[in-house]
Amino acid sequence: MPAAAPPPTSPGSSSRRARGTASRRRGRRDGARVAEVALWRRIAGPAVVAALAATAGWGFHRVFPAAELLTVVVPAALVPAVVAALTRNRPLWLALVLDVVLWLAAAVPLYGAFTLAFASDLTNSWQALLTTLLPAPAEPRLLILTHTLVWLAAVTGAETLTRTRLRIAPALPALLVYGVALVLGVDGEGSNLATSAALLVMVGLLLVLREDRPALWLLPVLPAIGVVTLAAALLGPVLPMAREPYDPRRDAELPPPVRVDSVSPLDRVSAWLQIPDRPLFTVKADKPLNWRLAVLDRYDGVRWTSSGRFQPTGGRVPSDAWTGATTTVRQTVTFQGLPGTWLPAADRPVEVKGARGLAADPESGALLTSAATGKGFTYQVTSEVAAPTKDELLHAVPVADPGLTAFPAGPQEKLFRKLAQDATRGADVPIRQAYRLQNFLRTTAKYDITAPPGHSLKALEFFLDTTYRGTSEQFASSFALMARTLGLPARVVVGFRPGQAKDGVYHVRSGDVMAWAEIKFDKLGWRPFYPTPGKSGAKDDHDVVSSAIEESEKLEGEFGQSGASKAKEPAPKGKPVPVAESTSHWWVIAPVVVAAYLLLALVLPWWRRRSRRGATPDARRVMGAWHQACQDLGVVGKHSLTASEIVARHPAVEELQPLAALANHVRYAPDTLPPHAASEAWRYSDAIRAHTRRTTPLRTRLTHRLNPKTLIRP
Amino acid sequence: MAGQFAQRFQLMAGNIERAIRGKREAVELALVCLFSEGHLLMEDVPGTGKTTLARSVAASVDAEWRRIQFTPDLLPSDITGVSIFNQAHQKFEFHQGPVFANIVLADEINRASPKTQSALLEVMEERRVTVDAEPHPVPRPFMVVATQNPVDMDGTYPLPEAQLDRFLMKISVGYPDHYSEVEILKAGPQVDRLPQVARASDVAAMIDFAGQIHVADPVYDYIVALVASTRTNPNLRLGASPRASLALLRASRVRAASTGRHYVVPEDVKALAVPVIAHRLILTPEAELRQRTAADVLGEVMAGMPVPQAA
Repeated sequence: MPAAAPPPTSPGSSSRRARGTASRRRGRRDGARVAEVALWRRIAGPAVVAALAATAGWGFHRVFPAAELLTVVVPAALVPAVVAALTRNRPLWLALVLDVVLWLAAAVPLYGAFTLAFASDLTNSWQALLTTLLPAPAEPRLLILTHTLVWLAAVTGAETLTRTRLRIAPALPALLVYGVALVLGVDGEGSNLATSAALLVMVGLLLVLREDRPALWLLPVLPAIGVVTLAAALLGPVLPMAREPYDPRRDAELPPPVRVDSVSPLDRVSAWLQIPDRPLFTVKADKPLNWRLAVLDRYDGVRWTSSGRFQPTGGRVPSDAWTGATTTVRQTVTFQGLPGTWLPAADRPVEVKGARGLAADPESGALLTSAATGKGFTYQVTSEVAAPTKDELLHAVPVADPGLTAFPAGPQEKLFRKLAQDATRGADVPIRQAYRLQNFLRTTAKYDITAPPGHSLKALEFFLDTTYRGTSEQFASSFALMARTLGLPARVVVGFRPGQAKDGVYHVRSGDVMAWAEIKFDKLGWRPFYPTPGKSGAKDDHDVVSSAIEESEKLEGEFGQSGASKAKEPAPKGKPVPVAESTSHWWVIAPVVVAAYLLLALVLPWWRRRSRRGATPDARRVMGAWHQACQDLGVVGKHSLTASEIVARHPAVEELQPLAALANHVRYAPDTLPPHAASEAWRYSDAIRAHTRRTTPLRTRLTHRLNPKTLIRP
Repeated sequence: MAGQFAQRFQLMAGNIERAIRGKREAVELALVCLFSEGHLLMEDVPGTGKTTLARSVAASVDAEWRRIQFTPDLLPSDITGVSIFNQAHQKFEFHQGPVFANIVLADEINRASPKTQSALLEVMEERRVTVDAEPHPVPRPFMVVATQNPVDMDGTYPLPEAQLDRFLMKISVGYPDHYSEVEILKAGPQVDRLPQVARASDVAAMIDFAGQIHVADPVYDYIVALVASTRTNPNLRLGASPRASLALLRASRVRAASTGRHYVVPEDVKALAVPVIAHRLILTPEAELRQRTAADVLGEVMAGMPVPQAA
């Protein structure tokens, strides 16, 4: 059988086939490149969204410790992005159901077990975070908020990315979460500058990815993103809001002051002194210091209590007003028999580790725990001990705080005031008054642990007027009250002497208990004063108190020599020294703001007029013409005027009457507008504008144009 | 149609103005009242033309009009009519009183006793008189034009609130200006020489037309908000009732038609708010002591109330 002959071909058919083959080859090549580009975009898009969510979550690094935060943020950002990429061709509800299930599954390792508590925790975590000193403890009840927010940002961003063609929208959830993180972390340590820059870069990348262009297009765009990011990073810290950011903690309702211990530590002083050998706790520290236990700043005539508003903290304790030289002291405290919830530490603690249920009073720095504190309970404290210079002490000025100089009503005030005035006669500066008061009590009365306990006004009157014998409970209380009569803001602190040193560990026993007084000075913060004399006279046996007394006596001596001339300089008593003005960048901001406003005043009216003229349908154009005419005539914000009243106010403008009629027709007539009504209205409006320009002086027009009311309420 | 309405309205107003010189506003308000099927109360000092205005309105329309001079001894039956036993037919026959007319001029209405004043209540609202349990409707159009004198209050009986509320408007005529008064002196009384420029049926048709004038929803809202604000104003002991809202709406429609418009605009409402609402308001004693008037308070309310901005 002969072979089948090939189909007859025309001379031109071979060349067409060749062209067709080439075209198909080219098509396949283009298709492959498109598929390659699409695959590249399909992977890169969700990856960038996940990175955005993770970076936004990293914004919480000022709120939570970094290690714990990362374990929460990374899965919360990654999983939804993967789900979105895998289910891009499936229904949205399927992706969302998967996301919810996985979110619940991811919450299990956070809590350690399945629990429904996360629902209530999620609701309460906002308030809890706002009333917690940062960094907040990495507890599930707080971390669940970050976990959920990042998850939501990743879900929303990734699903928007894979299911829409919107360009910037996939980044918005992450930016919102970052905004939340910024606000919640205002009070925390560290900076968000790098995080903000990273976010900006990623937003730029996302915008580029959403452009339907080849990858080479990225080359010139990436440097542009870098420049924008750099500019933002440089300008950001200069903005006023960055210098003084809004802190929601200022508006958050803090827990009310509560009695944190059933027995006040001051009430325990006499009892502890009666049985002085009971071991209370040990402190391993570099140097001996007085260990502060409780700070009591409110006196009602019967007892001293604390007005501290204790806030939970992950370990950080805010610093006090002192910004000068400090000595860092690290302590490891181990409980032996100390009762109560107060935690001893050297003043001023800045960081505590290892204490469960820790809470701190940001004002006084006093510490307490809500956890059980039995024998062996231990924690580490880092304290910054203030070391003011002699000059700073000499020029110290007490702060003006009526709450800290309040004296309870009673006949005893007269006695306290008289004694205080007698003791401080000749002292011309506050610190000298305090030293004289301290010296007066140390030399006038005697230390006697058998003296009757109590620090009510009656008891203190008995101590100062009759017995002249007491313990540090009476000495410190008397000092604080006498100082208050002089206008010095004073409080009582209960703590312990350093204790007996043995192998680098200080063993504190109940006999080491001591109360002392503190006075608050501007910039210096609270300074301690020790009015309690030693057991054998005015000198104290312990290092801390003795050195403090020696220092005060030395300063007193200097007052006698050169201090008199210096003493004339300090600011008046009781009035705080004004805080030095912080450097401002208004000279940069102000011209920018003015330029922006001028630009707005120039562009906004033009833009409004343009959009009014081009509005559809005709009814809107007519109303636009009417509003434009009203704006040109300066009728702004007078909403109670009818069209006729506006016409009556401008009798010289002839075109206003027919324009008002058209406007009324649009607003209130049932039928449609006549043809060309919109053009007619704009002809009237233009005529009115021309009339206004002719008849209104340039200065008046400029004033009108720059008037914020005109810009805001057209 | 609105144009024809406006034309006739202006014709009647011009006609009446030949008798009442220089009082165009009062004339137009009286006509608005007529075409709203409302009743008009005119309060002013003697000699300002209250009666003349009322007579002129009546004289311009080819309709039946009656005048009742209210005196303390006037009896209700003197107004409404009375049933008299007809011996020939052995039955009671109703003899219509002067209220059975298209336009009734109740002159010095506050001089009659409250009992007689109240005889007008039913006929003003229901437009019928009931005698011996038998209703007798009054003709259409029907309008009571009452006058009263604010001075010389001895022996007068102030109108109760319920009756005041039945008057659609309360207006004052006021003294004419110098030029108008000179014209009055030159021309002399003109009322009896006024031509009749409309028939009663024309007036009824115009009333029907005015009732169809379009009112946009925002204007309804504006009327209700305006009236409601009088109920919460601290200077007012008694605010306006929903009857006031209805009256203001009717009058606004007529005013819109009188200017040739077939839709109401807020200007209509604002222009009529004081004559329609003010007489229904009662000031607090404190506001009275501060020499405030209801019109002042209403003006303040309107000045603070935004007009509707969009249909």
